[in-house]
Amino acid sequence: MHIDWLRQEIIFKIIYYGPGLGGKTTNLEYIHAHLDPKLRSKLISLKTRDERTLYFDFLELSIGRIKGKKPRFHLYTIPGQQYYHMSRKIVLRGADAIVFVVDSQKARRVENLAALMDLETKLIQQQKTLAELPWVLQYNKRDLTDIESVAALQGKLNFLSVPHYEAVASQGVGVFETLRGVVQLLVQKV
Amino acid sequence: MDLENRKNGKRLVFSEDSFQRIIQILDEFLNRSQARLAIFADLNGYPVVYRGEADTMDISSLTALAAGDFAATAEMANLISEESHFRFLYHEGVSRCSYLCSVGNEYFILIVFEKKVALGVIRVLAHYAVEKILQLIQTLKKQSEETKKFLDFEFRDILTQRLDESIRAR
Repeated sequence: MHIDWLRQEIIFKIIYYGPGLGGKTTNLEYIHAHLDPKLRSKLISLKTRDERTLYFDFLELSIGRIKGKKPRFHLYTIPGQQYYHMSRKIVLRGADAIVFVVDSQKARRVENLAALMDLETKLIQQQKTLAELPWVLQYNKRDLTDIESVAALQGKLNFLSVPHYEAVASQGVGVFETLRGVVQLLVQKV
Repeated sequence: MDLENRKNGKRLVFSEDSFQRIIQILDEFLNRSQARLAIFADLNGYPVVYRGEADTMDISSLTALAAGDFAATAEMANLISEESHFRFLYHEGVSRCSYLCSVGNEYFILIVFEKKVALGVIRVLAHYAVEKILQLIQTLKKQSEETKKFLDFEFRDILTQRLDESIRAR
């Protein structure tokens, strides 16, 4: 979080974290495509040639002045592939809240858990913990057939009973609900 | 930022005077160097003060990418056994260039300038600006930001309400 007292602005950093190909970039793409252009910046995507996130995606939301003050939200995604762990560590720096995007497919069980453990490890390295940081879970790809039940995902991943949202990010289902949820949690906690 | 300060949520708090002083330093730099834009920002990707052609550029995205640039090249620095991050990063385009210089361990300045301006001029004048800002930073105290002064309950309520409206209006 950054407060600019001169311009009366407050900026929050929200990170979309999760396993590779889980739908983090799709969330940002949907928000970018469906929000009034006056309220958001251009979507910056640093991608490899095969369209995988190389470094991060970045989108700024700004919802005008409130009581003379201007809140802004910086939304970042991280690259999910295991070998980009340095990029994740760096983008995570200074995060105010996290959306953990879960791939609901049974075949991605291990990757989901590994990504969550990776997140917790990186937070501990920054003297933070998941217990103190505002975060929510998004169970994505609920439209696919071979998926885990929400109850099973809750049992495996939601050990801190944080808010969770079911989503089909490619169709926009649950995308804004997740964003609203994380922002609400964030402003309650600061 | 040292770990203890980070743990306590403490960070440098810029008073209005210090903001004005940084504005003065950047304006002086722009006048003398003929550069187009100067952004003083923190390495988490937040712009603190920007001067010059800010209206025509996306400052938030530029700053986020520049912070990422420092972070990525810090890993390169590590791999070649350099102890810290690189202090200067230079990108040369066909007509415009950017020059990034670190200010201590938490901040940097991003400069955008025309290619016809000599890099040496930018380097020397940027060095003076960095020294002046470092002197100023040393006089500031680290403290927990008083977010409650900024975000009262009413502000929080309106914020979520406004976000809802923006989402509904999509």
